[in-house]
Amino acid sequence: MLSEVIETIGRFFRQSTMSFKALFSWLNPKAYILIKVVNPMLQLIFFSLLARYVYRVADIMPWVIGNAFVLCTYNAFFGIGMVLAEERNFGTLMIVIASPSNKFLVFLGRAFMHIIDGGITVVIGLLTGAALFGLSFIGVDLPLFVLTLVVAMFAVSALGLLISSFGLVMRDTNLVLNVLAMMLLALSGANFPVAELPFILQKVAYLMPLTRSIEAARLIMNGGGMNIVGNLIFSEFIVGVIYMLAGYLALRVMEYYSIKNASLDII
Amino acid sequence: MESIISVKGLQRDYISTKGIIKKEKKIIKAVNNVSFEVQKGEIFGLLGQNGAGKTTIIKILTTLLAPTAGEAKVLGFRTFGEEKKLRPHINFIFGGERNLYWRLSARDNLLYFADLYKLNKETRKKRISELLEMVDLADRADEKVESFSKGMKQRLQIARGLINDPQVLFLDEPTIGLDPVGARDLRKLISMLSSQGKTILLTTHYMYEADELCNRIAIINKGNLVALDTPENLKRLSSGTAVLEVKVLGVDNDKIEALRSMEAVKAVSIKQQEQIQVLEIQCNDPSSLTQDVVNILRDTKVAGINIREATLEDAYLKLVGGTVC
Amino acid sequence: MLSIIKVIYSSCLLQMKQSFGRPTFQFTILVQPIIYGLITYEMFKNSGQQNFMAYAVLGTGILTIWSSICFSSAGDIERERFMGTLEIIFSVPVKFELIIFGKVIGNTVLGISSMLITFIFLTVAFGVHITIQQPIIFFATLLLALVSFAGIAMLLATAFTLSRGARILMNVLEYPVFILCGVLFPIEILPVWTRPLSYILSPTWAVKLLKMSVLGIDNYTEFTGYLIILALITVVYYLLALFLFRIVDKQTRIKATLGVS
Repeated sequence: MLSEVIETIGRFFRQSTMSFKALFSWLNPKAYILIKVVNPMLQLIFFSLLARYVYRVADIMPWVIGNAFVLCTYNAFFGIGMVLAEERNFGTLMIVIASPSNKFLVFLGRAFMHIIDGGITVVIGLLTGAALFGLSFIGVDLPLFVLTLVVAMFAVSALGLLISSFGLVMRDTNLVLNVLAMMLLALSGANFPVAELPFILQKVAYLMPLTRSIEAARLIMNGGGMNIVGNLIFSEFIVGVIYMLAGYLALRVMEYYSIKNASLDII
Repeated sequence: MESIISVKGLQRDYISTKGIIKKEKKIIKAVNNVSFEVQKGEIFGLLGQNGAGKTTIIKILTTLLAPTAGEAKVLGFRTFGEEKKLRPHINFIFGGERNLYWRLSARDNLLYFADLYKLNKETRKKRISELLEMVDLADRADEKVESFSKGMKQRLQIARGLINDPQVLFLDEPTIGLDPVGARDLRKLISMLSSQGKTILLTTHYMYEADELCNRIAIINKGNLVALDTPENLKRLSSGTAVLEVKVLGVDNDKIEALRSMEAVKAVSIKQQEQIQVLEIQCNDPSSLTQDVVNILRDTKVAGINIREATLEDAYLKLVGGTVC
Repeated sequence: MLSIIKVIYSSCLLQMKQSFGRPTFQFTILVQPIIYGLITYEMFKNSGQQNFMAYAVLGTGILTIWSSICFSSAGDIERERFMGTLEIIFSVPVKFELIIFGKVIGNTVLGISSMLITFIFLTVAFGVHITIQQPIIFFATLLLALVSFAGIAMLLATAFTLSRGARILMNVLEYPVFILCGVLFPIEILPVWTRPLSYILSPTWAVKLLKMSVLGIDNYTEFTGYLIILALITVVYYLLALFLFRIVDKQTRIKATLGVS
């Protein structure tokens, strides 16, 4: 029994890394550095400078934190958003469907590497913030911060997976991804308080990932502990779970219709 | 003994809708009331034109498509409804270059698929190296698939299709796009797998391939099963029949009709070979017909005349009729 | 002369029609202005800046124009190559540069509409007013700015055709301009050593001029000074672009890179 569990875990990790390699290792090192390192840094610098100018405060920590978290949308969101359509184009989606594997674990595994990848980009943003804008982690509950980061990446990736499920039947996933990524930039509170938004948009902001994580991260930076942010982190986690389940459900429904009606060409 | 593959009254419809506001529904019967049984260790062929319904049947049997009506069972399990129990024991190989991850190496691809079939560590290791040896890719195993030739990709496909040591293997046009040597090697492999006790169902539109490999052939035309027998028996449908082959450069339809209406002529089919049309006139005694045929084709440019024995292809054409490209 | 204008015009139209069909483009021209507009509005409204709406609209407009240049014009020649039409437009009797110029103009014109969209959105959603102190000068400056942007786009288009490395750079072009050209915040808040970089980029001057014409021109000498600098830089861009086009012309035929094979 135990060996079964170990085997399953091993399979999960192998599949995650393998599928990541299979679908995303198209970037040569130069391009990788530019897209995954330089561009996020520039984005952080731009929005941080803007915040400093507009809010006329010396301490722009909240905005640096917020924008660092938002940086993850490049990998944890865009990358994943195309993953299922890519599999279909490769012709490997049908093999996954026809195999006896645990579909949910395979689905989850697709997001796994992106959570890590997204986390790395955020860390790059934080380092830039520390180097250029005086961001300091002294007196901050680091493990709690890391937990917040991981949960945030999970939630964003989960949304990405949901979109990728729909990407199987949509023509222009790219447009949806771009719009949602911008909405994350605008509505997550990264650049201005969520409370400033019109009522409806506030509601939307709390339906999206990142909003609660950014709030939590800011509180942690101000010395807050689990008692203060525990609720937020947990809610963010639930948000991620809901998106993940919705994405998985969507995939199974599409698979069913594809098999039954052949009206969808996902296989 | 229960058949390995059991298809009864299988039907698959596609609904195509025309128009936006007033939707006109048209039902296309891709597979229409097809029934056959395949026994253990057989190599069973589905022969037919492109679009005849062969791929649809295979998709149903590999659990990728549901039947509209009728029954499809493999190893006693219903392909739609009992897929979970069936999937570990079957596998499929579709021709072409898809179904592989191009950015991974051959070995990594097999490793990945082995995981999809939940193989444990020892089995995985052993089988992957065996398979790589068998398809002659052991020395290129760690190179990325995108650098492989078409033939190599196809060989890797075969390894992938055997990763779970399936009891039943489905092959859809496996030799398509392969050069003659590659195709021959693949056919040798298929025979070997059959002798190991695996049941194989393959589709093809190459007559000689079906003739050479299959124990029995089902001929599918426009979704219907028009014949099911061994290659020998099918050929006998045209026995006593020979073929008068006339190569022409363009011929009118009324001339074809005139040929068809000749009493001694059993069937006329046309094969297009680039610019030339080859008229295959099936009859009992070609030599006595030649004069009359030439007369009918008076104003047409005749590039060659040949008399030969009937083959499986002719039986097929007789059953199916029409033009072959 | 008339035929030249005709070529540019038809190329421009084709570009606009094609662009409308591309979803990334729809995003850049329709969605981005609205969302950027939202962000800048929310950020600026509490900043105590006078006439901040003008900043928001202007800044967002330029952001979007530049974004669309990065994602469309810069890649246009490459796109043609992939579509298989590069060989055709290369060998027609009309000058290649003019066709590309038409496309660039098309893109830039669509870029202006993004400014309009931001304006409409912010006015409708938040009911704010904008006053332009010197409307005629504003529009004249805008025209010059667009010509200048077109010049950069031409430059980028050729550079990207010639060098694969340059193409990868396309991904990181957005933010440097946002930062260095004073689009949403003045370049004065940047470290001094970046100043030269800002100065060789024409958008820096365009932004200064446009802001002055919106907020009111106190110092006409300063204004004229900037105008001349902008014009000069733009001319340099065009000359460089023309030079690069010659090279593209020769290189692609020597290296046989017109098709994708």
